[in-house]
Amino acid sequence: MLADILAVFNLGLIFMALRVTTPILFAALGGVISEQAGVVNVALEGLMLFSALIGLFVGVTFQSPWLGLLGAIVASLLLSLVFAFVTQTLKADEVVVGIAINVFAVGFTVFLMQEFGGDKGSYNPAHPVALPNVPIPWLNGVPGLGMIVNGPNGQGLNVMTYLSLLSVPLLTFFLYRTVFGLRLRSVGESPLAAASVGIRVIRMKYYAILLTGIFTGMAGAFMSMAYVNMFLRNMTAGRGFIALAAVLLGARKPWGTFLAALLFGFAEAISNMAQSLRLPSQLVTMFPYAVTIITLTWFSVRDYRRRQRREAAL
Amino acid sequence: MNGDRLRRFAAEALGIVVAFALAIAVGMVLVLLLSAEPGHALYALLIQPLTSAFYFGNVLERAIPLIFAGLSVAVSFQARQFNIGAEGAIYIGALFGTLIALYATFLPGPVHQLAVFIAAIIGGALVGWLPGWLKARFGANEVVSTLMLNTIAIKFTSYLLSDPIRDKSSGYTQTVTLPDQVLLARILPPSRLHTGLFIALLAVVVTYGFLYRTTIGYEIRMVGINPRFAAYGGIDHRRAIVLAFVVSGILAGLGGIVEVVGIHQKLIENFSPGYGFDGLLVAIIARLHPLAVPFAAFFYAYLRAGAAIMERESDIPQEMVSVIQVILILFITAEALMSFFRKRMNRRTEHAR
Repeated sequence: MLADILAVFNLGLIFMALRVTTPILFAALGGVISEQAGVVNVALEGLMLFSALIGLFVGVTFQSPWLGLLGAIVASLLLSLVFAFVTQTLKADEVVVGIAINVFAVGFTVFLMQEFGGDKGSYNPAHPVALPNVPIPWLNGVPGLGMIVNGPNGQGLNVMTYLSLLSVPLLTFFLYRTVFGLRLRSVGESPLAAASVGIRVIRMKYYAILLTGIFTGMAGAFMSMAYVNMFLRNMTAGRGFIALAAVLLGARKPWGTFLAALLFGFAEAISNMAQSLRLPSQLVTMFPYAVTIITLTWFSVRDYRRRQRREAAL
Repeated sequence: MNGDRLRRFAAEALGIVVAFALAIAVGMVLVLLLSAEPGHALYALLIQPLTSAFYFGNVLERAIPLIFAGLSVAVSFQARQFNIGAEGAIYIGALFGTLIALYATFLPGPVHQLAVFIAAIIGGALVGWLPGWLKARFGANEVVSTLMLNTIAIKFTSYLLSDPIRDKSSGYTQTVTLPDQVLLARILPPSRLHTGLFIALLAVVVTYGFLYRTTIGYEIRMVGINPRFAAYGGIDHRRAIVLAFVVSGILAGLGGIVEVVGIHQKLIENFSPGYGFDGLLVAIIARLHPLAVPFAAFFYAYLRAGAAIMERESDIPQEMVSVIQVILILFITAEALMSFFRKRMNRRTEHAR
């Protein structure tokens, strides 16, 4: 038994973790942008789910995964625009509208599947499309690394996985080294101060929400055109919420969020692998959620202590 | 003063009615566009739920868990705590109650039934307390912690149902039928409407009394309206926040067990189709006021029941109503739209003066 459990921890686990981290990382990086602009975006889950189905529809219709990816991003942008309009222009509460969008996405995707596919449980196209995997054969010569980037069967990581990893430094650069990024952060830091130097706060929040939409679109495309090549009812299964947790654990910064997303990715990968060990699957799949609460608490306690120490020093 | 309150109420009501009308209108347009027999589909959706005792019983039976969940959300949202944990509390309340129902059969009938409800209250209170305490003590984000607890609660219930408390003779992941003495009576057969409706209405009154007629209820609302002022006035905001979470959990837990002993008469895996989240939307439609919650729950249940009939009798899937629901929520939460009605109402009364 112990040997079985230890066998889970091998280099293949890293490969698998990178794979399952991808949608969480995309959504979480999107969440970072919203949070940095002072927008609480609980809609990540629904945006991801909606774009997963629309992306697959578009991809299958044109038999091109790339157009599918584009379709997913456009779908996510449209729903994000609704979110932005209702919360920023009409001043509705962000958490409430976010939850409403999630409820809408679950219902509406089932509605679309039934209307256009005739099945409520899944949309399983006859000619699915897939975003390609990118094997890097020459790395097989490097001990360990070959297994991590090419996997046990040498199939390679998905192109979206590489894109998500690349997004971390790019987003860092964008947020901290460009004027636009500075303005975006200033809106989140202090909207009044930002407005006083002529930054249009509402417009910046719109931009932030739409940029988030691009990332959740990519997350959705990965779910239906890479993770699996079909759409299943409620297939995001809370990944958007885990992404939100990753943003908070990562202190709303790209690199911290990346590490947190990776932590959740590993938790999910371990639970996926442990299911084959005849442990009760419900208990094992609880693992990532328990990890989230424990780490969230731990980080909150740390911040709390830090605040107290600062107050004591004054 | 009284006139002012009346006007404010009228403005609010007008805004909500317009939101309803717009949402239903969008639903009608969707049906017209998609259905081959739109008249038939609309009749099934909007009229048929009201045409027979059976259908009407269906509406009411669907409203019961929504009332509990709506109250649950209303209490914590009044303290401005974005507690989304009703779903988890529904499961744990149902689970705790079911365990007592299954294993405390040595108790005499009425005591046994009471014990079942108390167990559900304890279960709900525990699930509510944890994220509330983490929030009040350390500032741990309640949106994330309650969402995670939901999944844990659902999976934990599934795990117990997969083996330890499962009815092994059944092909489904569920318990045996619970003993008669803990079940709630059916009051409008052949529908499954049960006496839980009265418990739900009692909960409405009690929640109203708690929030608007007790000191701690006042404190909870003050923390929600203006935490700094509340602190200045000497309110222990941590205690108020934790209590809001606990009461919220209790209401949801009760909703869970009432659904089990009223509708299903056994604990079934995934028995709640997201009542916790529906409760959030119900609470928002009710503008977080406990006395408005049963009306919002009724409307929500009416839409859902109508949608189920529509799916059976026409070519439109019932998930279409998610479009109506979300449009309704967006309109109702849009402050700008609501203040538009408030301003118009004020202008009209000024003219009248």
